[in-house]
Amino acid sequence: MSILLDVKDVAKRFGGLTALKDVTFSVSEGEIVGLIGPNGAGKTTCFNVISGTLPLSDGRITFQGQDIVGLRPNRIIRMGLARTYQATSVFPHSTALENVMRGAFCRSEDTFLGSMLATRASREAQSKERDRCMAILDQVGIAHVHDHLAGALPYGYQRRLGVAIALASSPKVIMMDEPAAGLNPEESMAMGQLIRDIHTDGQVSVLIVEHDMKLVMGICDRIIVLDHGEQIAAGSPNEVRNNPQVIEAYLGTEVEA
Amino acid sequence: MDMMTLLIQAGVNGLVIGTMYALMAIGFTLVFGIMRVVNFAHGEFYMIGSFIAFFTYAQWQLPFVVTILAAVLLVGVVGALVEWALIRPLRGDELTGMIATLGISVVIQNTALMYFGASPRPMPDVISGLVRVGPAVFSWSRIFVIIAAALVIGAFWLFMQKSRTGRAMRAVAQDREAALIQGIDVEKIFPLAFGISVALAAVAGAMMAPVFSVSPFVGVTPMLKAFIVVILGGLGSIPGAVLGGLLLGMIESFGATLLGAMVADMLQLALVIAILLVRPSGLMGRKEA
Amino acid sequence: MNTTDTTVAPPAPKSRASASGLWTRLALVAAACVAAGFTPGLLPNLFYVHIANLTLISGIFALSLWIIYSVGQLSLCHAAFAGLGAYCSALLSLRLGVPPALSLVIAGLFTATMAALLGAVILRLRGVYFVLVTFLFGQMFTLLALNWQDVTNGANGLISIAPIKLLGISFGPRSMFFYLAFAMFMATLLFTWALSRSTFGRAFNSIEQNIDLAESCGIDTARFQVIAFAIGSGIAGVGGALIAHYIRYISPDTFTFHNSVAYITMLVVGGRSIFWGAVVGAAFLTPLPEFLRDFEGLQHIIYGAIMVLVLRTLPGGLISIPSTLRRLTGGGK
Repeated sequence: MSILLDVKDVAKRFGGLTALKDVTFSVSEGEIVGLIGPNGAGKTTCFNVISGTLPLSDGRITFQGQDIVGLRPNRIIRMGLARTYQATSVFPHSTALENVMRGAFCRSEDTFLGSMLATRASREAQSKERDRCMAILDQVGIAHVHDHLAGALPYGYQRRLGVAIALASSPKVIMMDEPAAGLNPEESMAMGQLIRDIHTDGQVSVLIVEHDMKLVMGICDRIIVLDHGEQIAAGSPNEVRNNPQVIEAYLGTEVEA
Repeated sequence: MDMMTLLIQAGVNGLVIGTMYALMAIGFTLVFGIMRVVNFAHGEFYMIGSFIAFFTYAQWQLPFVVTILAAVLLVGVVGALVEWALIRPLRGDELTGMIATLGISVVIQNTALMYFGASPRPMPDVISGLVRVGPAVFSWSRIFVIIAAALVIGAFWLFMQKSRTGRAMRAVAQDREAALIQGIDVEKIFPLAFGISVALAAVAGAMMAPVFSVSPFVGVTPMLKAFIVVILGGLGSIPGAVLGGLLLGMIESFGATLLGAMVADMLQLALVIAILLVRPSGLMGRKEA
Repeated sequence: MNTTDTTVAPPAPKSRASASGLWTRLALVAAACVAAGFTPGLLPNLFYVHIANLTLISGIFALSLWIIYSVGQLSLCHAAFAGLGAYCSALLSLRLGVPPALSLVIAGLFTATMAALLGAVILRLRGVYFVLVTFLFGQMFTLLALNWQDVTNGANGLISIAPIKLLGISFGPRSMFFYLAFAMFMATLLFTWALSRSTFGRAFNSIEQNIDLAESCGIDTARFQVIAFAIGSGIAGVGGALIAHYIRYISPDTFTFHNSVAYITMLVVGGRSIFWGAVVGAAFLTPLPEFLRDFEGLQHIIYGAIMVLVLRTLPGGLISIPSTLRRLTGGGK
């Protein structure tokens, strides 16, 4: 199983505040890796650093062997590393299907000239894309609302749409930032199942940040624990669950184990 | 005139226009910081202040204090109304709000043009006479401008720091949601802030009326300068506006004295673009994440 | 559903009939050309032809401004780029004897390049700063035009600019120029339409709706913003050159901030959500000042007042009237 995403000794400082320090982990093919920690541990910061949204202070990050530090986010996506966001992010004035098609922008076979002149090749490429994107919508379970405006969709559907958009770029690794946030227990279970399906069907590795422990323990192969920006544990769900440092870090926080 | 005198005069002139720019910039940046609105009509309120000064002081011969009061109250109230009627409903969309203020500025400027005609009208000095400092000579009018402006800026600072409303405004500028939660009536703050902002511009206009005379186009340049100052000092930063204003005034004054007015103008603009390349949020602005 | 919205509407979903849709559009274009062919003869006098010419050129300015707006940016120096193109073309033909038809093209490319340079430099500035800098750039242009006496002749402007000649036909006289203006306008319209349906147009729209998400979709947002800015401003340069070779006199006063505001007004009043709005806005607002010349001074006030009124009461612009009516009378989603 080759390593896809490799994070080494990553540090991030905001002026005097150290948000991340000596964070080291990797995500290999065929894995679902969880990144957990109490609030403020630096999980989203970690994502932002990896996806290129925030600049790095120290360390190395490679994807499929290539250094991705300093690259603009759009280049990183094109290399096969996608992400979803904590705050729901969609194109509100477009339909769900169009949203997914935009996610597939970098994989489209359509060309500028072709699309300008509406050539047959361009139309065929778009048709192909549309079919592929419908399939993705189907995969995440919202194909029935494909022609609804994304901004008008209920919250749960919007979150799934976010996943669909990320999947559209045919990533090898998808980073999911709190996909179950704001979902009720049934929706969370469904989201967990969805993630597992994506993983097996699409052969996509997943790196997931979550607070919902049930979800995390249920689907992750490995878990990494951050606290105050530093890594305090890494291992299988069982190992992590029984790790005294982890328990201490969460003391006072509600743990739904 | 020897170099020393030239420099001193340039320095004092720099202070005169610098404090004016600071006044313009403070109002402009206040509105942006609190409401995220770029008020393209800002210069027109300066112009209204100039006309108020012309009519109350030059035509009706009322004391200048009345002029200032009239400028503040009249323009402040009109400004608050404009905000309430025209800008508030557009607050969601920054671009749209900006465009609306563009339209408002066109209406105000051309209304003034229609009623008052384009020819500039000169105004008598508020304080006549000259003062000598060594070989350098200044008119009291200009010194008066510096002192008056400093007083206004000082009063404004006190208001923002010490008064409840002022602190409320700062809270809204920092974080609107948090301010709402704290019970601050944001709906009242906005027209008030806008009113204060344009009142400051009007005061600047009134004070500068004797120096630069009065016409419907008199607000264009001050607004341009306000933009430059605010970009230099950072959008939303009041200390940045004051510092930037004084800095720009100095640069302009010395630039004009040493290099000629035209070059000085180009220099300013080039300087701004250069600074933006290096520090996009201005010298003191908050970084827009 | 939301054509009252001011955000740019995404290109309509492609139907399986898009091939035949293409033919329909071609037919419409052909019909428009035929109609245009008869127009100069039908109009009462040359004054109306002149208005028509100005309207067509304004349409070019408004459309090109829309291209920039479609990526979520507002250019306050659109007239300055028009002026850049105008002076470039005028100077090339006056000083170097370049045939105007060629200098027009060169001017457009030159303007696009300058816009690309400026854009690349300032696009890292978010939203408001970008707009302010375009304003400053516009001022710089005016200053330059006024003060670079040797080249631009300062406030006196450039006179006796040659008219455009193509294949032996001179497009100087108003009626003749109408055909050229119409052709250029149609070209711009078709180009804008094709652009909005192309991969670039989709990228632009993604950026306009949600720039961070667009970046996450693998869209190089910085590059596309520069492209939109360069294309839009370049076309404005061509428009400016057209004016130069039509009116045959330009000065720094021809391309000021007021002109930029006028183009923005056309875009807003016509409607910002789709490129047709720009055309409607130009058609509605260009003739207005000419016919209001009797009410000296009032014309500009009306301009500004209309803009503010539209923003307050009909933010989607004139093209949103049909859908607004539909909504108000109970129909529609």
